[in-house]
Amino acid sequence: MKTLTYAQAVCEALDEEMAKDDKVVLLGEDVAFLGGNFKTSVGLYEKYGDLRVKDTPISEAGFTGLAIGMALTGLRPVVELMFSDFLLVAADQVINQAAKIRYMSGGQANVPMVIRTPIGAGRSSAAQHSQSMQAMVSHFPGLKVVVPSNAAEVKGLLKTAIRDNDPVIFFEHKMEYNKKFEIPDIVEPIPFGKARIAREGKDITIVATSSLVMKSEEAAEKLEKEGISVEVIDLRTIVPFDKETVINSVKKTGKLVIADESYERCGVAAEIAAEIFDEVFYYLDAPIGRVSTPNVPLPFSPALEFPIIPSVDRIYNKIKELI
Amino acid sequence: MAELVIMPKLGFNMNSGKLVKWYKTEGQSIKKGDTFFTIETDKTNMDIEATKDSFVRKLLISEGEAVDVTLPIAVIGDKGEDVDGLISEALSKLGKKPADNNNVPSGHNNEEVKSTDDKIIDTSETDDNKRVKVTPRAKKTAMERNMNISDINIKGTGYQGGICEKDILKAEEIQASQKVKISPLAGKIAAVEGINVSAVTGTGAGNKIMKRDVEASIKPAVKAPNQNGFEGEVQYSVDGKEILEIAPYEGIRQVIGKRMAQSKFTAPHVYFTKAVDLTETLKLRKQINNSYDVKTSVTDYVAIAVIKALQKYPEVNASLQGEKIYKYKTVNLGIAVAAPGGLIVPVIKDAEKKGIVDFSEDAAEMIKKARDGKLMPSEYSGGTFTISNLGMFGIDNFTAIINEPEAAILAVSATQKIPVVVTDENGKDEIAVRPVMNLTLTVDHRIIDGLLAAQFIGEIKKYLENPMGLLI
Amino acid sequence: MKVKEYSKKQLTEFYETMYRMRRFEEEVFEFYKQGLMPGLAHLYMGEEAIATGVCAALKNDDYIGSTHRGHGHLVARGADIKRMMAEILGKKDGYSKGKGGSMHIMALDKGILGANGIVGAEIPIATGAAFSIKYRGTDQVAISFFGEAASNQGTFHESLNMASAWKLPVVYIIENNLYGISVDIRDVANVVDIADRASAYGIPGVVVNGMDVTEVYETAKKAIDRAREGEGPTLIECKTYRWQGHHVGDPATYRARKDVDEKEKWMKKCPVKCLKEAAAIYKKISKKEFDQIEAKIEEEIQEAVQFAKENPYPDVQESYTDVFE
Repeated sequence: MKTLTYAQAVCEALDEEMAKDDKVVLLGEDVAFLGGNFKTSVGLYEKYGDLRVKDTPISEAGFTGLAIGMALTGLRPVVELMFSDFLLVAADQVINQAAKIRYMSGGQANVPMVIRTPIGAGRSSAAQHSQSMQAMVSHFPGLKVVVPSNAAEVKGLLKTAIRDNDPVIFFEHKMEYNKKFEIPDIVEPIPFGKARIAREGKDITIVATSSLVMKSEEAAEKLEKEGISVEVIDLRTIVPFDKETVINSVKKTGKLVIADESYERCGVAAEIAAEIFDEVFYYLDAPIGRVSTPNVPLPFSPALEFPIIPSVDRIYNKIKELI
Repeated sequence: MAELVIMPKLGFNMNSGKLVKWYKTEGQSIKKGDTFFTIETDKTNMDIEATKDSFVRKLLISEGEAVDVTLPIAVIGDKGEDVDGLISEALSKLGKKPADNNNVPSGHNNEEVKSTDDKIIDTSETDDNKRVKVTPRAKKTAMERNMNISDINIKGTGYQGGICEKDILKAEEIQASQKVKISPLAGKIAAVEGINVSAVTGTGAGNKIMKRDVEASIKPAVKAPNQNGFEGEVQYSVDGKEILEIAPYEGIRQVIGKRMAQSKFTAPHVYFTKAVDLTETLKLRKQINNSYDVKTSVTDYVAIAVIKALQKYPEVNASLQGEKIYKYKTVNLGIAVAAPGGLIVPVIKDAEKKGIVDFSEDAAEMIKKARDGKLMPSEYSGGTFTISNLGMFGIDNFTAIINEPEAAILAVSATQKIPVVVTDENGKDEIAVRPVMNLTLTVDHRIIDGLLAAQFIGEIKKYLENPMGLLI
Repeated sequence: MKVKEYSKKQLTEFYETMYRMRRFEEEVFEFYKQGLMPGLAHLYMGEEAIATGVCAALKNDDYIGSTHRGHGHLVARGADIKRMMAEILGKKDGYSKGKGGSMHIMALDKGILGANGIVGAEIPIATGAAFSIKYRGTDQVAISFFGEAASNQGTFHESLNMASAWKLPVVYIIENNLYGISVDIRDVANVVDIADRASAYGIPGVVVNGMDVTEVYETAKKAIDRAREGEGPTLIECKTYRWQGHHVGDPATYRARKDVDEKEKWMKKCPVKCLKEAAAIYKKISKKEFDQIEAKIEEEIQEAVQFAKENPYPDVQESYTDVFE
C-alpha cells in the first residue's frame, strides 16, 4: 500500500498505460507544460514528449474531433476537458460523432478514445464550472460513462477506459483531486459494468457514484451507531449499468437511496430508480430516495452553494426519512 | 353555534361505526329527539337522535361508510352561519380532501433544502389517510406467509406510517401463538383458492383444518348462462345447481357466524339432557300471574332456577380467559333472542338480586328492545350464562353453542304433555300425564367436568319440580 | 482543359470515374422518384470533377473525411457501388447494414472515415487523422471535403488553426457550390473567395475551377505532395455547382433570384461532358472507346441497382447491434 492523492492516481494510470501502449496520446488544455489544471498529468510531457502529451488551443469541439480522427486511424487518444461543463462546447463531436460512428458505420469503425473531465461543485466556481454532466452523456447510446470513487478505483477504471474500444466519458471528481488515499502498489484494470459493494448492510441500500460513495460510507458509519445497517454500492459505471448487483441488494434490504451529483431532473438517480423498479417492485419496503443536485444552476457564494451539494447530511437525512 | 356531530362510541370495544342511514339531508332543520342517523356497530344497528334544535349544514360521510368513533360525521349549526372552517377542520380529521382545496395551507417547510425548484409540494398529511398504506414488500411478505393484511390489526411503523415488512413480521410473531392449525395440503389448497384460513372451521384432530374443510368453504363460482334469453335471470353454480340468491356473508350474520365457529371449535362442548316435570312450576306461574297481574313466562322460571343453581355452583358461572378461570358471584343472565337481523343475546345484569316478577319485567323489556334492534352494546355484552329457549316452536330437544366467553349454556325445549311413570305415597308406580320439558346443558369441558354438569342440571330440575324454592 | 499532356489511361480513368458518379446519382434520383428510397439523398451531380481530381492524386492508404453529399467521394475512392446502393435503400448488405443511409456511408477499407450528417463536423476528424499520421510518422495524407457553408462553422476555423500550428498533413477541399440549402454564400460571407480565409491561419489558399478535373487534379496533387513532405495543410476552394436541389425533391426555386440563367450557364460547364469533348478533340479517346466505357459502366450500375433492389432488409434485431463492442 502507498499513500497518494486522487490526482496522482489519475496520473499514474495515464503513465502506466502510456508506457505500456505507445498508441496512447494525451491531449487537452494545459495538459503538457502545466501538467494539467488539476495536476493530473504532471511529468508526462517531460517523459513522453510533445507529440504524446499535447497542449491544445482552446477549441474543445476542434480537439475532441481531432481525437476522434486519431481514434479512427489507430491511436488511443485521451482527451482532457478541463471542466465537464465544457462537454457542451464539444457536444456535437462527443454525441453526434464519437457515440455514433460504430453504429452508423454498421460496425466497420470504432472510436477507442477517452474523455476525462472533472465534475462536482464545492469550489465556488459558479454555474459554468461546477456541473456534473454524467446524466447528460448517459442519455446517449454509444458512450460508456465512468464515475469512479476513490483513488484506487480511479486508477483501475481509467486503465480499463484507455484499453476499451469504445468512447468512454471518464468523470473525475474535482473535490477529490487533492485528497490522500491509501492505494495498493499495483492496481489492475477494473472491469466496466460490475459495481462494487463498498460496505455490506441489511437495512437499506445506497447506490452512489463518484465522491458520493465516500460520503455515503461516512453516512453509513454514522447510522451504524444508531443501529441502522447500510449497504453502500459504488456503481463505478453508469453505462454499462450493473443492474444485477443493485437489484440483488434492494431485494435484500427492501429500501434504496441513490446518490448522484447530477441534477435531479432526468438525473442518474431517476434513471436507476426507473431501470430497476419493475424488478424490485414487490421487494420495496419504502419509496426510492434520491440525493442529487437540485434543479437550479450552481450558485457562486459558499452560503448558497454548500447547502445544495449532495452531502453526508443529506444522505443521512434521506436514509432516516425512509428507514 | 355550529358544531360537529361525531360517530358515537357505544361500547367499550367499539372502535368504529358504520353509517347505515341518514334521516336528514343537508340544509334540513332538525329538532331535538328527531332520529338523525342510524349506525351499525359490530353487533347491532342503532338510531341516534339529535340532541338539540339545529340545521344540518354538512354530512361528512356517506351511507355505508365506516369511521372510527369520535371522528366527525356531520356539521350542524344555524342557517347561514359560516361553517367552512369547521368543515375543513372536520375533513382533515377524517383525512378527506375538501372539494375546493385552494385554501388548504401547503406544508412547505422553508428550513429544509428542497431538492427541486418546481416540485409540487406533497403535504401528505392531508392525503388520503383512510387508505391503508402497505409497502409492496410488506404485501409480498404477507402473501408469502398467507397473511391477510386486512385481518391483521397492526400499526405501520414504515415510511409515513405505512405498514412495512417489519410490521408484518411482528404481526406474524403475535399471531404465531394463536395460529390456525392446518394440514399442509389444506394450506396449499387455501393458498390456491385464495381462502382466508382463519375463517375456516377445522374438523380434524384438535380442530385442525383439513382438506375437506377448505374445500367446503370454497365458494362455488357463479355464472349466468343465457339459455333462456333472459339476461342474467338464472344463475347456476359450477356444478349446475340453479341458484336462488347469493347473499353476502357480512355484518351481523358474519359476526354471529364467527362467534359460533370460534366457540364451537375452541371450547370442547359436552351435553347433558334432563327431562323436567313442570307440573308444579306451571301451577306456581298461574298463581303469580293471577295475583300480581303480570305475565311471567316459563323462561323466567327456568331463568330463576338457573340463577339459583349458578349461585350454588359458581364454577358454572365462569369464564376461561387465557390462563385463568374466572368464577363470578354476579349472575348476568343472557337470553337468546331471534331478532330480525339475526341472533342476539340481551343480558339481564345482576340477575341474582331480582325476584321472579322484577326479573320477568326486565327480561320482557330487554327482549322487546332486542327484537326492535335497539339494544345498546352494553345491554348485549357482559353475560355470565345464557339460556336459549326454542320451546315456543315445539322443539323436542336441541343443543346450544356456548356464548363465549361464558362456560355453559342451557337449551330449553317445548313443554309437552307426556305419559310418565309416577310413584305415589304408597310407593306404587302409576302412569300419569304430565307437562314435561327437556333441558340440555352445554358445558365447556375445559373447565367443567361431567359430574359438576350433572349436579348443576340436577339442581335446576330440583328447583323446577319444587318451585317454592324459587321464591325464597 | 489541359488534356493534351495527359495519358489516355489517365483520361480514361477520369472519365470512367466521373461517368460512374453521374450514372450512380441518376439512379439514386430514380430510386427516389419511384418511392424506393427511404429518407433523402444529397446528389453530387455537377461536382464530379472535384472528387475525381482530388482522389486521383491519392494513394490507397490515404484518408478522406466526407460529407452529407458524399456519394462522389466514395465512388472516386473505388467503393463498392452495390453496397453503396444497398445502403441507400436501407438494405442488409449496405455498407452500414442499413443503419447509416445515404448521409453516413462509411467505407473504412477505402480510407473513408465517414460521410457526415453534421455540416463541418468531419473537418476536425479528418484533421485528427492527419495528427495520427504525423504521430505514426507515415507518409499518408488526410483529405477533408466540405462545402462552402461548412467554412462558417467553428470547427473549420479550429481545425485549420490546429493543422497549421502543428503542420499536419491534411488538405482541405471546399466544394463551393454556392448554396447552403437555399442560402447564397454571397449573402452570408463577405469574402469573394473562401480560400482567402487560409491566410488567417498562415496556410496557402488556392481557388480552382471545380468543373475541370485536370485543374483540380493538378492543384490537389501539389497540395498533397506538400503535405506528405511535412509542410502542412492547404486550403483549396473548387468553384462548382450542384445540378439538383439541396437534396432529391428540392425544386431549388431559390437559385433564379440573382440570375435566371444560372443553372444553364453552369450546366454548360458540365465536367463529364467537357472532359469527353476535350478528349475527343485531342483524339485521346475514340467515340467507340467512349461507348465501350459507358456500356461497361452501365452494366455495373444496372447490376448494382438490381442488387440493391433484391437485397433483403436487415433483421429487426440489427437495431441492437454495433452500439458497443
